[in-house]
Amino acid sequence: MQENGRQRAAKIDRSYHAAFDPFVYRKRWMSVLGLVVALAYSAWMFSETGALHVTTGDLSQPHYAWNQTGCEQCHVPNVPIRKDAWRGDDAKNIAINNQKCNGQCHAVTGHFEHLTRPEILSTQSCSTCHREHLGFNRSLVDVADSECARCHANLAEAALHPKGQKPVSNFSKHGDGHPEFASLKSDPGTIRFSHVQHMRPGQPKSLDGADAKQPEMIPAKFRDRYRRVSADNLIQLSCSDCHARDVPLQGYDGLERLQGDANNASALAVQSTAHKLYLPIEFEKHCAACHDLDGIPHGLNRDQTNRSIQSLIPAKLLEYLKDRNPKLAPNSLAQNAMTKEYQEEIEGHELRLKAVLSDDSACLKCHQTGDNPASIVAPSNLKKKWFQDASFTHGSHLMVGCRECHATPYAETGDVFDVSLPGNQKSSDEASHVMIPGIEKCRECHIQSPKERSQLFSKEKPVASADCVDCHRYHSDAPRQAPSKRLSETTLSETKWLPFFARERLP
Amino acid sequence: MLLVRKLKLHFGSICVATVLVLGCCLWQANYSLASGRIASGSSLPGLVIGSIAGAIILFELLLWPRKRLRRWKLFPTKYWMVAHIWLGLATGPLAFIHSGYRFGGTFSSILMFLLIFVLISGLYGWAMQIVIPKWMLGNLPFETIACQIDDVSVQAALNARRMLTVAYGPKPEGLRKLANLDAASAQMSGLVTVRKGRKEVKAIVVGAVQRRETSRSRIEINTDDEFHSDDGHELWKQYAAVIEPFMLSGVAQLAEDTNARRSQEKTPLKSRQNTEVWFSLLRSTCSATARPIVDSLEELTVQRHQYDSQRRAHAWLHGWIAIHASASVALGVLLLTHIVLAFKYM
Repeated sequence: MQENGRQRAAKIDRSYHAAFDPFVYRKRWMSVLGLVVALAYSAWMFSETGALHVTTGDLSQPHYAWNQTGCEQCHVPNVPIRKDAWRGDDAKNIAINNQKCNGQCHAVTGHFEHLTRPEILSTQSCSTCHREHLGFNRSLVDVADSECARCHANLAEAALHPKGQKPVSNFSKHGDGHPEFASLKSDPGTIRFSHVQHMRPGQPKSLDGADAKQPEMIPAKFRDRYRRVSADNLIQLSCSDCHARDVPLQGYDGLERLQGDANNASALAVQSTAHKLYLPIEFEKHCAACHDLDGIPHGLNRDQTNRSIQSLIPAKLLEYLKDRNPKLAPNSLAQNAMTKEYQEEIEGHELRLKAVLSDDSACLKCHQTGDNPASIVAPSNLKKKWFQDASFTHGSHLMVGCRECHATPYAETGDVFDVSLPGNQKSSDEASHVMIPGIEKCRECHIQSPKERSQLFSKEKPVASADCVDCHRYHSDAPRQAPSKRLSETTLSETKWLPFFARERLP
Repeated sequence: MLLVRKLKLHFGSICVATVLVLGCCLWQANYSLASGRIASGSSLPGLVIGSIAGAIILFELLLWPRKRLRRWKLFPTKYWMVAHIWLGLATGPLAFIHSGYRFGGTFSSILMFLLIFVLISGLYGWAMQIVIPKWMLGNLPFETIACQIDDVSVQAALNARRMLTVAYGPKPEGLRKLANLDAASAQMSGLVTVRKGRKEVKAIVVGAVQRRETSRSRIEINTDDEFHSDDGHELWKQYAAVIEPFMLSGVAQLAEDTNARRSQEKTPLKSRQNTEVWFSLLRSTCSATARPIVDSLEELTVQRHQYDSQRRAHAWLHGWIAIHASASVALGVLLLTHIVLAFKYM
């Protein structure tokens, strides 16, 4: 007889479902454990230190101290700060967030508020361009080109006065994404100066070199400075003899004398962003060795020059008398000075000195006459900074040498100014010729396409990025308040526990 | 046919999950292309997709209350489970799309890793639920209710004792002492009447009779047969020393019995192969009349082997749930925290 259900059931304890089941027990307690751990972690995250786990990454160097001081330093609770967040482009929210940056710590002007339409400006939050939480080393001014192009590619909509404004969409050499540099259209300077002549050995005016200078022909005090000579013992100038760096860079001496080796990628290591421009030329330092003003100081107006001449006459006369009679006692000078012969001598000296003012061999050799009767010459109008809407850092370009970009002074043929120069300029045009290359020269190294850049880099060509922020800045340098806690007060140990994927390490 | 029915069952949920993921992916990609950057979690599509993923996670967590309220018959379990699996799987890609394909900070990374862990543990569990029961059905014909393995083993031991007692009389003096199973013995029924041809005979039934391999699982002993006392002594001796300790191995109420434990550790019946060899030897030492008794004892030993396999399979089948459930609960709590913090610092 087969075992029936009742018999089979008799073998099983009827209350088996109520019996202890280790799997149910484990499930229950593990769930409680998960609940407790998650609740504890959540509660901790609402604390000041726990809030660090919410962040998507370390703050950048200027804001780094606030990693320790809570999110409310920048974030207004329940007000979206990201532009792409839901309600993030709401003008009211943008104003609240911008007030946090611009009202409490920063005092920057709006983004070209005199050039930009107010309705466009009101939709621009600081965080749109300045992306935070991307690590300690992330630069806040490293703004994506697309952020700039949002408005600049279509200035008709964004600019207050769009007429005449050229749109900018990219820096690529293909197409018309960036206009030619407007600042280089003309040179407003009035100085007659030939770079070509001064870079020739001996600085002769004519090509035959008849008036070439040797070191012995300049005053002794300048000889050490111009000790470099050519094979013919003629003074050989280099760019750095006249153009001094705004920040002296130790160990980078003589780079201005490089022949220009833009293809030498290994030289790319020689660069410093500290040195931006070259200092203005000073007559006493850079010109006086050859251009003697006979003791009259440089840079005076007409009255000051006349007074200077008057004050110089007794000294000149004394020199004259000493030359004539070296044994003459000093107290006899005054008596001798009263004689007619010496009166005539004085007048002759005065006339010679005054001739300096109108002679082509003195002031007007370099300067032009101006309209202002108080001044002897017209203002020189030398530009200290050529790019008005951009910044150029010479220190970042030291490796290529001056000649790579400023080739004009090195012309070796022609009268004074080489006829083979661009535009076939004549010598008379040289002073007004802008010796800064245009956008095409920049594009030789600054390649926008990462792919193209990578290809050139693999061929060991010097390449650089071509981002908008490489050259352009948009906010004026307004004074800033110090942050509540300085970076130096934040120790590395305070942030060491942050996991690798949440932050960049301090350098 | 079963496969077709199963596919039909899953098809709807697979379609919903796929459409959901693809739709959200396309929407987010379209929005990203328009805005020029990958839409983050706080953007409109990011928020909506995140909300969908969050809602699905909360639905997944509803499996627990639904189980507690199963008497209400809210929704057929099979549909609920299918939705639980496929919508749950969709939360992974949805969360990744929501985050703009980034892991973000520490908290959001923990949340993402936890979600991935829950998904992997769920997938593992799903695979176990498919593979193990099928294997058990084919390989464990003596399968019983897992928590009753100890009880059934005790009853099998009692049945074996009864069988030996009926056949050869009580256990002879001087042999190894048997485990104390009095409490379980009191609940046992007596002999059963078994029809053999036209004749009804008294018999002992060992183990539950299953439809599969009934010839192996049902042992009938005719009490009219004559049994030799020499066989009885040998069988009682081997039963007390080897068979019963193995049959009762792992039984909780006997865990304190050190003798039994030592015997279990040194048992020659550890593997199926050893068992077969060992019983062949035992069979050869006994007369032909003892063969059914030895066969039934071997059958009980095999049954015990299967219980051990079932216990291990049961651990694989249900062990993951504790981990999956605890991670899911933690995920649910952290998800709520994420929602609060995200809106606060968006």
